[in-house]
Amino acid sequence: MLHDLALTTPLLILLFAALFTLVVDPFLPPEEGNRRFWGYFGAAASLTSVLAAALLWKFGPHEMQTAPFAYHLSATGYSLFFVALVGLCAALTHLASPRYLVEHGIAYGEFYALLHFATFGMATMISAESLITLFIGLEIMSMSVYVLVAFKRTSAASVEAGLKYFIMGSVASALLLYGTAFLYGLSGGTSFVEIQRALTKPTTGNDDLYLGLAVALTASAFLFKVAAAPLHMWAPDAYEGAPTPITGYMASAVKVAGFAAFLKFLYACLSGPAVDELHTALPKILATVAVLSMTLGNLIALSQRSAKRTLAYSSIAHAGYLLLGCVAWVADPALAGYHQPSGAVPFYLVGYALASLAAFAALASVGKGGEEQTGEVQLVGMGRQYPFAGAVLGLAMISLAGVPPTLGFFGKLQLARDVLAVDDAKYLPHIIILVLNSVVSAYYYLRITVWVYMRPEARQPRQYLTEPSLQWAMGIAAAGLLLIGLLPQRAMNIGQRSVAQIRTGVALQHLKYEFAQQGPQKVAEPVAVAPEAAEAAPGPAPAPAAPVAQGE
Amino acid sequence: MTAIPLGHLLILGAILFSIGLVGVLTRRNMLVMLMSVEVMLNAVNLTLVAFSRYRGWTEGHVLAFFIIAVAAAEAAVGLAMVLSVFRLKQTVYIDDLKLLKR
Repeated sequence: MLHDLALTTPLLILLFAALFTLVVDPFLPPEEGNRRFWGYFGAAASLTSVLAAALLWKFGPHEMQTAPFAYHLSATGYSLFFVALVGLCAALTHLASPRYLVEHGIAYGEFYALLHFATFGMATMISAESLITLFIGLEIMSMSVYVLVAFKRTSAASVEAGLKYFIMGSVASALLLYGTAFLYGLSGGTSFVEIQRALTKPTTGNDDLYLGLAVALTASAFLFKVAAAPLHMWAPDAYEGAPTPITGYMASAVKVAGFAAFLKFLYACLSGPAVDELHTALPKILATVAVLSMTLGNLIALSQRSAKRTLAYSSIAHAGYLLLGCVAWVADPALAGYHQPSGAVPFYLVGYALASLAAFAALASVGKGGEEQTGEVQLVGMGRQYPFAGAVLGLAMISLAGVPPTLGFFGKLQLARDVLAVDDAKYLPHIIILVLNSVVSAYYYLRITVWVYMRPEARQPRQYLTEPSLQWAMGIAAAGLLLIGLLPQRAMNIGQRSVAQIRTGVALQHLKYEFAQQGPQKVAEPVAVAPEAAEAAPGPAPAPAAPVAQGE
Repeated sequence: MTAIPLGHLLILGAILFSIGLVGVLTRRNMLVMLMSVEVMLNAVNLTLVAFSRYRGWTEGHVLAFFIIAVAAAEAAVGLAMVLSVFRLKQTVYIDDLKLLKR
């Protein structure tokens, strides 16, 4: 029992931080110092949670013991990696928020409590090993984020954004649940292991129908959450109306959590001989959605005049790039969920999350007096009047565009390699579209940089928020982008090791057993990596992932 | 009770779910949209409970309880948001919200 709790320490830290904030905040006098205190407290708590995840990663239990609470949660390398990543995003958001909130007249302690709850929900969702925990985590996250988007109650834009996001989001939740109900009807259980076990036998009759419905419904729910193309309509509105630090949080943490849970669901739940057909259909669908999403996102972003809205469309485009990375996970029917997935998606997510956080933290520092100021007019002259934020914004843009020395470039490179490693003839057109899209996107990313640096300045100097905590947030995100960009190999190895542990030991055992029953033709050696073995040889050199050679 | 076949309950669930989905997509009154979402969630509950009842499983019941709790939370958040919109704009029709361009 204690052991189970110990495995969920990163989650518990976030939960208790939220409760502590809620309980203590009403008793603090509403002075500005106290209001800022919660930002630092929140960052410290989130980083503690990251530290706990890192310690579990390093000294954690053996593979077989990583599924606490009767296999409803997991503390595998995969879960811990993404819990740490959303924890980091949350910490930077906490740091970026206090001054912005004071300036906009919404400095309430509940903001930080909700941020903790949202992060806790994400961590639960990422660690989920059953559809029940997945759903609960997703709802805790979504509900907190809806409120955070609408947090500026006096602003019609913020409330409108929140409401639109809420209505669309609750439809997505209902779709996910309906899909869950069919998976349950198919397998009699809700845990990933049980569902996968049911899918090791070929389905017939009604079960086929259930499976088709279930996959369509759940996949569209996840595609909604990560804002992929046909289901992206909420994203620009929600991103624009939300308080800027929250926009950064949505672009980074919500997207990370969505992709982490989606990939785990695809890989650890929806795979097996029964879904062989899916394994021919699903990559096609995902690749189509990916191409649509990146093209649409980039083209619409070209015509936007506000930096916030441009970045919202850019986030749709990035969802497309990442979905193409997901294709590498599901595209190999011969190995139906057995080959080792590529580490490119986690690696790309690190770069994307850091760049988004840096960009939105820099945008949050523009303008005083409580109005949103992220248009062209407001950004002009930022490079000279507030060089630090200008430089961070420029760096983030360069990384998002994927220019070589930054993390964004290595992410895209690795992603393209992994997809091509699966089937280079089939996916070459997709990769070409990806490259063309990157070229198109460079136009609007660089346009923002041009606004910042190369336009004649406004007559009177603008005012910027020069709060130390906001500068810390920008500095940490930018430093991460540069440092990991200079040494991508190590981060890549960590990403690789995390995906090597995507299944719990129990799931691996089940799979071995089931496949032994079915005959040996499909059994590739499953990736049971004990932590010590993985430590000795980081990234057990999977077939589709050629390590990045540049930059070291 | 067991005289009704499982398929009928599933079809009823599907019909309810579709009614809810169409309601959210076509109605412009935010309160009705919230109600439609609740209908969708209850259709899911019906499906889950039908599977559990007819096959003698238990987890579906558990998930149905979770969904009821979450639906309540969702209604609370949703109504609070509709209320704050109404305070600012004196309207409950989503077409009147066009500050953020589509």
